[in-house]
Amino acid sequence: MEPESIGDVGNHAQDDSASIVSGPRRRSTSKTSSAKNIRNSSNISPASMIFRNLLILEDDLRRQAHEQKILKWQFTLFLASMAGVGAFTFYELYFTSDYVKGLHRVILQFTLSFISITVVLFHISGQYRRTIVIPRRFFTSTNKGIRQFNVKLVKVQSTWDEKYTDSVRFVSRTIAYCNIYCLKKFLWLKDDNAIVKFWKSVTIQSQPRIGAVDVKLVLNPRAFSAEIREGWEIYRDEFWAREGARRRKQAHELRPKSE
Amino acid sequence: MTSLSKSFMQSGRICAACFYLLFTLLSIPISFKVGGLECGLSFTVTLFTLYFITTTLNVLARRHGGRLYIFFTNCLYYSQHFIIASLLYLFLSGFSNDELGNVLKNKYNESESFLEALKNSLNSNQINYVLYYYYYRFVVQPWQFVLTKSTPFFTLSEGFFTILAIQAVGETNRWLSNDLNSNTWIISSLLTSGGVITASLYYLYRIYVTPIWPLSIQTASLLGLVLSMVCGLGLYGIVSQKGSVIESSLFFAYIVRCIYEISPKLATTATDEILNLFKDVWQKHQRNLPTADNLLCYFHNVILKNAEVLWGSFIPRGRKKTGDFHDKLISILSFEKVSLISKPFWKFFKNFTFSVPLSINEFCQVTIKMASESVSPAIVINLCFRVLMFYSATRIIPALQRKNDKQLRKSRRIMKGLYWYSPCILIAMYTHLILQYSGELKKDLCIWGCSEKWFGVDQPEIIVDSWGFWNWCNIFCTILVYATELIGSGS
Repeated sequence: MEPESIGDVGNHAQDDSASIVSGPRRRSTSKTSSAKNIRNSSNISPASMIFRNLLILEDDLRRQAHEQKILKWQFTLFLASMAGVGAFTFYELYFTSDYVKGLHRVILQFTLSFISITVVLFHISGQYRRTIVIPRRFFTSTNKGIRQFNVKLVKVQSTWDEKYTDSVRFVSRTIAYCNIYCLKKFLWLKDDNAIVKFWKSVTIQSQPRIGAVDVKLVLNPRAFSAEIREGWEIYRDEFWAREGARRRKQAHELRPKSE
Repeated sequence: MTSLSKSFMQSGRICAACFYLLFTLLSIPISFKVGGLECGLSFTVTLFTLYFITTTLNVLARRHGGRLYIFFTNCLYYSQHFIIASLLYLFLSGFSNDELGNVLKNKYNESESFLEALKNSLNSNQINYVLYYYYYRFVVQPWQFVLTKSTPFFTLSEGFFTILAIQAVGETNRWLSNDLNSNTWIISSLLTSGGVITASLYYLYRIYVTPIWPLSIQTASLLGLVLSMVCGLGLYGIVSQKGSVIESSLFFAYIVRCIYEISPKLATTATDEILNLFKDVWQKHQRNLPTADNLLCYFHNVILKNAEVLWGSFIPRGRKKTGDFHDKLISILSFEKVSLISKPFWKFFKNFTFSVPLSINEFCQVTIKMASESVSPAIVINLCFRVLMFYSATRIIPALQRKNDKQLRKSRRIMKGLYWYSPCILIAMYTHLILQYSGELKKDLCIWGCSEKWFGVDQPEIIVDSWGFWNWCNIFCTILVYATELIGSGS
């Protein structure tokens, strides 16, 4: 796959330079230059090598953003639970009509003190900063670091139909996994059963989107021309489209081996 | 077959050890409570000596002796489990003698009593109490002296080992949090630390609320100083990342426990409150159950009465039979004879099947009641805490010293020898705690102006409470050790 994509991008770059130099595009010239690039690997254009490095950097930053997001939501949920129980306890102790007394009051007071002390410990031990503040500032601090390379990390806002498609895929994928689990666990069906094959194909077709679906790198308009920025967008989108197709094909090909 | 017999022997050994420990823990406070101080000390020193001698003989036989010696020393070792009750009765009966009590109280009659014993050599009672007297004089009093002087050893070593255990917990927590990168463990340690600190703050609040312990100005100042140092150290450890949250919380909890140990009344009252809470809940639960629902009452009220009714229904049936005179006479005689013969057997059977289990049950209840009155829960909890700390120290210290295999093997051998003699340490520790809580230890400790050789004649004497003094020393030594660890670990 990669030689094809590299050649394709090289072809694209050559087309751009040819159009700049000689005006109208000629078909025989593009065919000849494409063949030459495939034969001589040392002639890979610098643009495609830079684009490949940008691809690696973008994927790693996407993984980091995902990790920080999960960490933030986990501890936000923990803190919200503590705050909720604390608020309920406070209301029960001091704002209800009937006076709470006896063991019940002692338990409520203990719970309120326990939650207060735990939240204070959460702050002074540095866990609050590590798990909530730093993930919140991930994009700001990352962009400060990569500013010298004239690139920027931005969030991708999905359109409503893309979100809808993602939800449908998630639901169908979950249903398919549950069905496969039930069919194998309770009905003792084998992998070569027709129904199991159908649900496996559903899981393959319902895989989540990969690539620049939530986070992407953008080149700085002042440092890069419009052609290069457009080339980077096309390069990345084509790469992830081919990668998704390759993964689905690989998943399909794994089935005959298990038969 | 070999593995089966080996596991059988292992379980037998474990049962014997549990039996010995349980019986020792129950019988020692009974000897102190029923027989008094002298009886308790005599009983414990005898248990200590017996266990020490039999263990030493066992170790020597395993190393040097043959199979016959191993068998003999094993019999000797395991036979002491059955001697405990006899020893308890022996010392209880021996020290209940009034003349012996008088002689022990008034030590000036020593020569007279000895001369009297020589004159009346045929009097077995005199000989018995003279033997007890000299046993007390030459064996028990050194034991009492050693226990009295071992307060600093037990107290300070407990503090040091507790700091060791706290730091081991902190290292384990750090490994789980950072190396495994587990968010669940971080949240769990935060919740645990919050709970520990909340409970410690509650008990700290109880010190100022409960009027048992009179807080003087000096004591309140010392308390404020100690709490300031502890809170400062804890915050420093948390903020600078040299300690951890759970280390600081456990350290704070231990210092609060040491503050409770300064006064025995405070510790006993706290423990009794906890047990009273559980007792109230248990009694409320028990009140809902019917009282006469146990097996013995059911057996007596239902089964035996039904049997009587069934037996009684046979005789009128026999008497109601009709026929000729000869058959009638034979049947009446046979039934009456059978009933006359079997009535004493029936009464015996009825009384036996009801009375024997009842007497066994009552005997067990009396024993449990006597033991529960004698055993103080504060002492048992303290003993369990100290045993746990000492045991964890024997596990942590070899791990810290693990430089190479030779040192590790040597260290394990030393710890194994310590495990062999651990019931001796347990008996000494238990007796020491009982003496502390019953107030029999030497109360006053002179730290200034004791003798004219070292100080001038005009120097005033400063006398403090021994237990409180050593607990304050333990608190300050613990704070010093932990501070040294925190500050030193940065370099």
